[in-house]
Amino acid sequence: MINITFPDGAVRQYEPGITALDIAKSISEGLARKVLAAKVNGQVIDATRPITTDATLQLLTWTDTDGKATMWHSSAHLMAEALEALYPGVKFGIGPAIENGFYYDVDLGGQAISEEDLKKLEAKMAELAKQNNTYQRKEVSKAEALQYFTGKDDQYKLELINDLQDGTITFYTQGGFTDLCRGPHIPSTGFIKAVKLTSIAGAYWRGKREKIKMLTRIYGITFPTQKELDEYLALVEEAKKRDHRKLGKELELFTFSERVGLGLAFMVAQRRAAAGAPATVPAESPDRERLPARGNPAYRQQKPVYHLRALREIRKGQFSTHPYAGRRRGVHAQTHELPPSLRNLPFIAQVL
Amino acid sequence: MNCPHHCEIYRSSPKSYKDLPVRFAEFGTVYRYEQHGELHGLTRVRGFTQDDAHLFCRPDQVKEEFIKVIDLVLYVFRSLSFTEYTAQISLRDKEDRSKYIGSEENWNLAEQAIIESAREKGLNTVIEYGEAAFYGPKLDFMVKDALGRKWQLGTIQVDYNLPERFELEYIGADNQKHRPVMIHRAPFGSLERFIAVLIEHCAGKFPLWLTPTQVKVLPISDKSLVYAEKIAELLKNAEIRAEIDDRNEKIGKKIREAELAKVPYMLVLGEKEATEEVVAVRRQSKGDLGTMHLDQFIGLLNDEVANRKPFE
Repeated sequence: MINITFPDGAVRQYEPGITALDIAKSISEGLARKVLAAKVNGQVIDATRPITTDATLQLLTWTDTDGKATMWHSSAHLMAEALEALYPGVKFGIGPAIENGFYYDVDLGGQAISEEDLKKLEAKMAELAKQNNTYQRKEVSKAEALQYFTGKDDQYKLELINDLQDGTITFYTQGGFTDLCRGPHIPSTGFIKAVKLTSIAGAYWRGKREKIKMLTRIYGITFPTQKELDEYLALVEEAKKRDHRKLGKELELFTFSERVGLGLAFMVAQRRAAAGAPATVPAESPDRERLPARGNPAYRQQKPVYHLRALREIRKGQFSTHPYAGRRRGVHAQTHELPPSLRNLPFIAQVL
Repeated sequence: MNCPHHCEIYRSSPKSYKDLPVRFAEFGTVYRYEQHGELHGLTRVRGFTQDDAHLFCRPDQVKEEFIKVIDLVLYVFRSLSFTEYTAQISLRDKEDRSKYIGSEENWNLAEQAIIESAREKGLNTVIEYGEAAFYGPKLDFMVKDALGRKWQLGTIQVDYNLPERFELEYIGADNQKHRPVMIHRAPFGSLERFIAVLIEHCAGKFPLWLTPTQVKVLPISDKSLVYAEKIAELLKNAEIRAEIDDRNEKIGKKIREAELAKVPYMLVLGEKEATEEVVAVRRQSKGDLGTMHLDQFIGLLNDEVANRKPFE
């Protein structure tokens, strides 16, 4: 028997060779339906790999980052299978999981792929996912691996294999599709319940610009329920609306200057109403004389009102005879020394 | 990245245990040559502003300093309506301790101080073993924004390395030389990145105390322009950031533009308001709040500012 230590510290005994999936089943069927991969002694592996020695075990589900990454990596393989079905002869570069979803760099042999085509590809992926094919791991020799991809005439995979050590190479097969891959993968395609291919971009093989032609990178994301996909898409929409680059421009919060340099942000001054013809104060207005307003060129020289507290006191009938009584060390001001604003107090009180 | 400079300032005069803690803080601009393709809005820039601060204290003061910094970080979060956050504490690897510098005793003290201060502040904490830098344990705040995305904002990092490298000292009560503990702290990290997160968190609707224009004064026609100018001026005197839209445009257009600019309050002023000496208040995305006296309106704003209420 081997000792399996769970994250909560509990230790259970099992037959050697048991899989994480079997262990999950021994706990509950419901749990087993959620297990995407397993972390055994700190390493993420297939939930269907046998465990032969004492180990610490964490069952990875959708709520774990590693669980998500495993499903998205498996989704990349599922997309590759769908691509091969729809575009026979397609060649594959690399297809990893990323922070939100996955991508696969593919060589479609000069064929263009459109947003419309992505819809068809999504449908094909959903169809293949429903077949609930298992992901089968197989260790292969370098010679076997080279032979398989020579047969498929996939120069990208051949290049990758050539860089690998013999004895470390593994293939994963689901349905009719086999890929060079070190794994891990989810138990079967049925876990993937909702698929969205989000965008297409160009990519250079192994990032080398000078080399050969450009590959097509197809981005996608998958979820264990349709509801989660819908929520994700709503979130993406909302995030677009909130993009700080868009809002920063619209609300005139910050700007960049090419003359200063890229990536050097300036916070801009407080915005004003968009330019337009200013309205005019009627010339005959009796208020004109007494306006303390800035903005009005005729009164530019005047200082603004400073003491709203004094203003409130007037309203309450508590006008202090010494408006400067509060200042730290001061001689009481003479009326003629008061700022224009304070002299205007009766008028302001009238406005209020 | 003014850590070495602050060390030098510390060294510029002898320190006694009574002088500690010594705290230096500044907003410093730093430059980093990011690849062209890596640049992204305010989150990945070539020049940014750090809220750079370093606290030098005695080992027995680490906890007290930590609590103060946590208070500061929480004050920032509260003021900007970030309500969901967890604290991630990064400690040494449980087994392999060879890669860490500083004495076992000091590490234990600091790790304990961080854990205890986080607990005393009631923080929701995650402890990560083996995530500490070689020179000291740290506490990071992971903040969830309005869309549920996680951002790392706010770091408190203990450092045993720089005081060693810069031979920082203080004279203890025992009249002997001791090495102070250095704490790097940054509630914002990079102000540019923080502002980007804030903009996306509040969708451009900043809390009233922070928003660039708090009130837009909108005269309905030039007949109410004089009254509108008075009101705008009085608002400015009450230290309220008010702007007047005195363009010869239809009031509908002025309101629409102010709404789009996410100005929290609009005052729609016509002849009626001018005669009655009141203001008609409109709240962005909420609509009409009715008419009131100007001092009532100012009271409303002051209350919202003082209580750091979030927009919406």
